[in-house]
Amino acid sequence: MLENLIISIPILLVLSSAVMGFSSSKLTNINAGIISSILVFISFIFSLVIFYYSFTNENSILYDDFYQWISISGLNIGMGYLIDKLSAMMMVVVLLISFVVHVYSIGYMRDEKDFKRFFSYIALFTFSMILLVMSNNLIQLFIGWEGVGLVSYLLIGFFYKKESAIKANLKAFLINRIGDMFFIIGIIMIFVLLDSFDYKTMFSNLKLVDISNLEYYYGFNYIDIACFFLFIGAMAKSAQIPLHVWLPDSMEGPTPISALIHAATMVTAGIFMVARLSPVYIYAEVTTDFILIIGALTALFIGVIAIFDNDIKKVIAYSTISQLGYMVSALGINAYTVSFFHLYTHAFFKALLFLCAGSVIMSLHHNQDITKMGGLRKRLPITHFCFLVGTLCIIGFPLTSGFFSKDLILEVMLYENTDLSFFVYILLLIGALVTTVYSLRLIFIVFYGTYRGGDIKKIHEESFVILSPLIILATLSLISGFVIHTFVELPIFMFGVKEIHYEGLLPFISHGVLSPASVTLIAGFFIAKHLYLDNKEISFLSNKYFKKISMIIKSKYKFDEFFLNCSDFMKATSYFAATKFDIKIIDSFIVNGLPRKINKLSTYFKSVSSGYLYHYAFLIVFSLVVIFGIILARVL
Amino acid sequence: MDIISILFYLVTSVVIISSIGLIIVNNTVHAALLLVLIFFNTAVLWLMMNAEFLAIVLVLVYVGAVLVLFLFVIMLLDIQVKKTVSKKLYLLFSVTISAIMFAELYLVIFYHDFQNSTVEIVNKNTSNTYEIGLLLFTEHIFSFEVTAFILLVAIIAAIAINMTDRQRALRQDPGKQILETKEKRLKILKDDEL
Amino acid sequence: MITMTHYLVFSALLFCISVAGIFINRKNILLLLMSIELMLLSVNTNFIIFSNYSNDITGQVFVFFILAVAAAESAIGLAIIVSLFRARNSLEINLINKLKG
Repeated sequence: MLENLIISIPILLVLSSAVMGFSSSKLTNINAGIISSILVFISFIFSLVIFYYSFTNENSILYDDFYQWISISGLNIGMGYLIDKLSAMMMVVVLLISFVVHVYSIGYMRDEKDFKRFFSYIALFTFSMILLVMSNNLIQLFIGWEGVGLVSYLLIGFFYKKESAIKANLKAFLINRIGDMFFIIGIIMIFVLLDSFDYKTMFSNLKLVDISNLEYYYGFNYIDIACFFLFIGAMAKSAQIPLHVWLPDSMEGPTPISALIHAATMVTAGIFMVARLSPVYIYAEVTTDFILIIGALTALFIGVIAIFDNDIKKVIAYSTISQLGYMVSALGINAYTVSFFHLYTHAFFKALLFLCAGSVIMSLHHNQDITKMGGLRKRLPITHFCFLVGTLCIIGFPLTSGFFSKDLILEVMLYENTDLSFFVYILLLIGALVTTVYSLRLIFIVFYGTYRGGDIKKIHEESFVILSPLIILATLSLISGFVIHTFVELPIFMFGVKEIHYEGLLPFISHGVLSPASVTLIAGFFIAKHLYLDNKEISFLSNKYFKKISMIIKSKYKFDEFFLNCSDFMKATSYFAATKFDIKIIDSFIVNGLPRKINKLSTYFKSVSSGYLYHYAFLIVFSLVVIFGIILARVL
Repeated sequence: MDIISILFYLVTSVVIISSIGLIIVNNTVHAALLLVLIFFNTAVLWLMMNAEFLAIVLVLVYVGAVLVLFLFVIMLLDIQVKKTVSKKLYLLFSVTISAIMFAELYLVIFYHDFQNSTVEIVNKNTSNTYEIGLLLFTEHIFSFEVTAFILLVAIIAAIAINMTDRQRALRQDPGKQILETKEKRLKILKDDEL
Repeated sequence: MITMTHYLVFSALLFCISVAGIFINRKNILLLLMSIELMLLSVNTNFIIFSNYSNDITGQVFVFFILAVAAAESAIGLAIIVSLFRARNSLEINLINKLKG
């Protein structure tokens, strides 16, 4: 029964995708959207059942290999599922956000010509994500991984007539290729070490591996290197420095996509992957330190960019990268449950923020420039409320979900009590301040002050289809943090990894309120109020030091230029190779030159085979005489 | 110097001189006749080695059949041959190679010590022909049959090779002549077709 | 005294002369055939010498077979020469280089 439910989830999703993709024009857009939403909703209900089962039955792991895909002497690649608490929860999150986004998209995309193509893509995306999440082996995970990458590519370039969209999706695809290449290397290294792609076999084989006696390469042990390569894959997918550059540009896609793919689900695939392979990662001590640093740097420095951007969606995108940095840094101290808790709360409030932004953008007729907004609070009350909820969550206002998860990360970081983790703690604390500033800046500029875009009277709230998802998500964002004990008390993974010191909900709240994070919250509020509500930003930036700093930040630390220079260098190299090496050496020397030389040489040999009988006879006799002479010389 | 030695030297010098003549002579008929001379002398040599049957066979088969066939072909074909040896360089090469070859063979012969074994005419009770016949029809009967078959094949092949281009011969085909009608051969043209 | 060595040297000389004959001839394919006959003759002579030396008549039986096959060979060779002459109207070897690819 449960097995059928599990298998029917991806089948329903792929069915939805196929129906949307291949349906005739008789199926109207609204109906198509409703059918698609219903299918996703059914699979969401199924996932809830599975979720309930996983959390009520202690140590329950649903595992099956229902299809043997490739089997070559010892190498078995199957299709199957492994549902533990981690994947059950992830499935619920993915399907819930997907369902909400489906409903939202019916309203948001209603005027689009390619409405059904859009729905086909998001259903396909959900399918790939589910495939990734419930996979029981690395190969299936990789298929899902590539699937979500593909759909992300397709959806960023959904408006394929827009040049910037095409460039953005190409960028996303290429950056992800870098990650995927290393990801494959990592998978193969793991396979070589553990002799299986299957998680269960992998982890049981891991116990047999002599960890203290691994091979060392350049001072790093084997597991470190394998995990490092896997993490580079996660870096590309989860947009960590320096492979984050694609995520801000991916905002060219439709807003529901930004909510579903580029905030809540796909970008967290990297986190999920590391969490899934946590039994391996705990042995990779050097790599986890690297992960910690990367996460902290991303959390702080990408967050800073958000303060200076004027595109509403890009600000949220930068904040997504920053929040992903928090999750990654939690992975860096092996606090996988904590990281996953933040993933779970972040999925709700970041999707909420994106959908609110979408609502604002729709009301303003596809204007995304926040300098043209302002004072929308009165015209868009529901959107404003929801946006406020999202902002409170992201800045970690007490008792919202973000408060619990972010504070937990900070506390765990402090509790880790090493030099590096303390340094990262400081970075994350400053990051929290930055988060507060840019989040409040956004809401202050968009919803407060005066409208700067013309006649405010024309602006009105969108339909219920758009607003109801916002309300659902706002509710979830507010309450989802209270299940914190699920994450810290129960071992939600197949293998319990790290014990977290947790004394109960109320002590946690009181501790959190009194922690330095609250100071950053208050300080951030006053900074944002001073700069953006009271409009002191211009006079502040006229200070020449701040001007210089803001110039650096506005250039986004020149990561794009770095990648462009890299590609220019490669172009120059390949041009050199093509003209000098390929044409001169390979073409004219080897490909054409060698036959020419052989041809020239063969003219000498050709003269031997003249066709005249006596030449052949002479050669025969001559050879005979020579051979005879040699034999004679040896005998005599 | 006994009579055998005189005979030997006489016969061998005739053979060697004739064979040198054979390879440098221009006229093919002369060459064929020199070959006849060589075969006759070699037959004498074979007789000296107690191989009477083979000596007779050589004369009968080679001189009587094969060389006559040679001469027949030469007469038939009417060949005008120019100079046989065209280039001095080729001559030099061939002579050098042959000389080296002879030197090598000579070395081999003297390396094996055949000095004391002589070839003498001996009187035996049984004739050479009888001995060969005995062996040929008992032990080598199968090879003998195969040889006969090879000769048959050679006859058929020799005919078949020259049977191919019969159409060049001018002759009448009565079958075709009977089948001809005047409609096939004659066509009446009208004025406007001219 | 005529020893076996004399015969063998004679046979070798005859063979070498006929080999030289094959090379020297550029104009007449018939002479080539005759040179081959000469080579066979020297080989046959060698057979008989050794048959005599080892007092074994089988060598002579072998000569008999060689003679028969040589006769067949020259018959076919002559047939080929005839058809070659008909086709090319010449027997000059240095004009025949059809073996050249």
